[in-house]
Amino acid sequence: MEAIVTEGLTKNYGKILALSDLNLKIDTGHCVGFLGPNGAGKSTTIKILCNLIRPARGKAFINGHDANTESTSALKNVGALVETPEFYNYLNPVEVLSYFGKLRGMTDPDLKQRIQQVLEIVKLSEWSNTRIGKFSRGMKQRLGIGQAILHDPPILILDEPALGLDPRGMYEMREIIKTMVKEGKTAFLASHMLHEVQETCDQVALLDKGKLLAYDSISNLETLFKARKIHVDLLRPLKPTEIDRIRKMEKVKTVTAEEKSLVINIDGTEADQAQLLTMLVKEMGAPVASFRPSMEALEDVYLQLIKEGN
Amino acid sequence: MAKDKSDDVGALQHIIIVARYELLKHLRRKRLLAVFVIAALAGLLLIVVPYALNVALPKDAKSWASTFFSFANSLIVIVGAFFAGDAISSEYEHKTGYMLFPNPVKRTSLVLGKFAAAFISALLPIGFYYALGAGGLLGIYGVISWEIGASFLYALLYLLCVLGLTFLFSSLLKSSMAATLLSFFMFIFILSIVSSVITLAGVEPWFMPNYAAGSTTQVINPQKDAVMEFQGSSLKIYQFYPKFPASIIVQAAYLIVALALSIVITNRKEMT
Repeated sequence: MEAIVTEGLTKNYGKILALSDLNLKIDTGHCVGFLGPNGAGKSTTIKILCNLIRPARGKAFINGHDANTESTSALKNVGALVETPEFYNYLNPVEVLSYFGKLRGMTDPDLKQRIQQVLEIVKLSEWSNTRIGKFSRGMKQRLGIGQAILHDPPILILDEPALGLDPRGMYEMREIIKTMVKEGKTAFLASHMLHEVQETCDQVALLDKGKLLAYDSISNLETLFKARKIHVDLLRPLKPTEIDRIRKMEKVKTVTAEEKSLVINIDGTEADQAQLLTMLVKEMGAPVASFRPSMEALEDVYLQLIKEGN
Repeated sequence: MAKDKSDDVGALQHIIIVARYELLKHLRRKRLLAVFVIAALAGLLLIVVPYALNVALPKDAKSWASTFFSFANSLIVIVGAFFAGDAISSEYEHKTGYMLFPNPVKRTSLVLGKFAAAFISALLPIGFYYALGAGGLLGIYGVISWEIGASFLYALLYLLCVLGLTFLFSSLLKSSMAATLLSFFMFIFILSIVSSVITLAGVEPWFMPNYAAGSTTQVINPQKDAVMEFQGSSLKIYQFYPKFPASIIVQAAYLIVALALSIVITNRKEMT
């Protein structure tokens, strides 16, 4: 079943075309990263899905409900974080979460228990009775994530959720999303942080100037764009002859050696990756300390697509 | 795990929830205290100053009450602008709407909840001012009449009318300050000037909300329309006083039309 569908979604801000004929189908149980540079149309899409703005043309559906004409039914299943969260400064986190929880029909006993849980998850328990007016940006972001997961929604729509978070906060946010996806929920995550998306999502949709450039699993995109990169750490530097031997391997496109590490660009599948590792260890006797896909791969796909789009 | 039961939450319940949290906002802000101080100062000035300065008080209670409660209309404009000016616009200006609007709640319920909270908050200082006036009447003249209660009800009608128009400004404008000031200047200056010009032309401004609001004192101390003519001159000065069925209908019409427009605009307004 599709959790989120957009059909020919188009939006203009005056003469500026923010979104052009966007067609997306996001299946339930997936985490989809929505990538694109500033002004690509990511926030516009999310705002349409959350009924904050209306499309000029096209439709958006959440669990089969039109996000604009049946917004209450559509938003019932959604936990959303749009832009930098701002809250009512005169309320504290418990009051804010109670307010939004009650609007969603949660009862007082349910709410009391769930608010405690959520504040613990987003690490705001000790600030539960402090007015939000005194909160930092990162704390507001944590509370924003908290209100998005408060009602345990089957669909999460998050716009730059890592914004303003410290490294620990980013890690915790990723864990929250991963846990929810493991439970069969759907996450739609707009970001420009490629690393964030690669760590959290299994699929990516790449958007630029309002147009969808690609939408596939990260692995497929890497293969498609011959961008699979392997980062190898060694206990000693390889000899030039050994590096040449790797270069001559079938499917290996480039090898960049730097003291005790190698970055190997491989035009192949995961099976070719396994073959490469076997050759390094068994045939060459290379002292491999670690062998992992490089985080630069998605960046290469991203840059290649944006360049092609321009 | 808590389940989403927003289907079970009706529009009325949403209105009540929104009103409760908006009331909390009004109670925690300094504005409520400020209008109570204004009401107390104005009331005490009208009661205490004549004694302090040894100024003769009106002989009859109705004249005194009419003077005292004429300030209620200005107080209504102040509290209306204070409590409703930022009701809608602040959601856009301070971006809190990004949190509130993605909830499964109709924006109509949000507007009505906010309106209910603004009305209840504004009712407190207005009620306080009327209580001061009633106390003054009892203390000075030893009497109190049903007309004070009727005047209070007319004051509430004017309050609803002011709130309705201020909500309209708040949904139209993105700046809370602009909506608050527009409401204040509209009722204190612009409408007063327009009403005066219409009156000068010899036409009764029965359709103006600020003129209709004169019912709050007219019910206490009824006056009749009059025309003053000056001998040897064509100059005429007209004095009109609001008539009861018309003033109620006019204020109710402003309230309904302005609030309905505010709901339509809020429903259509995009959060870009």
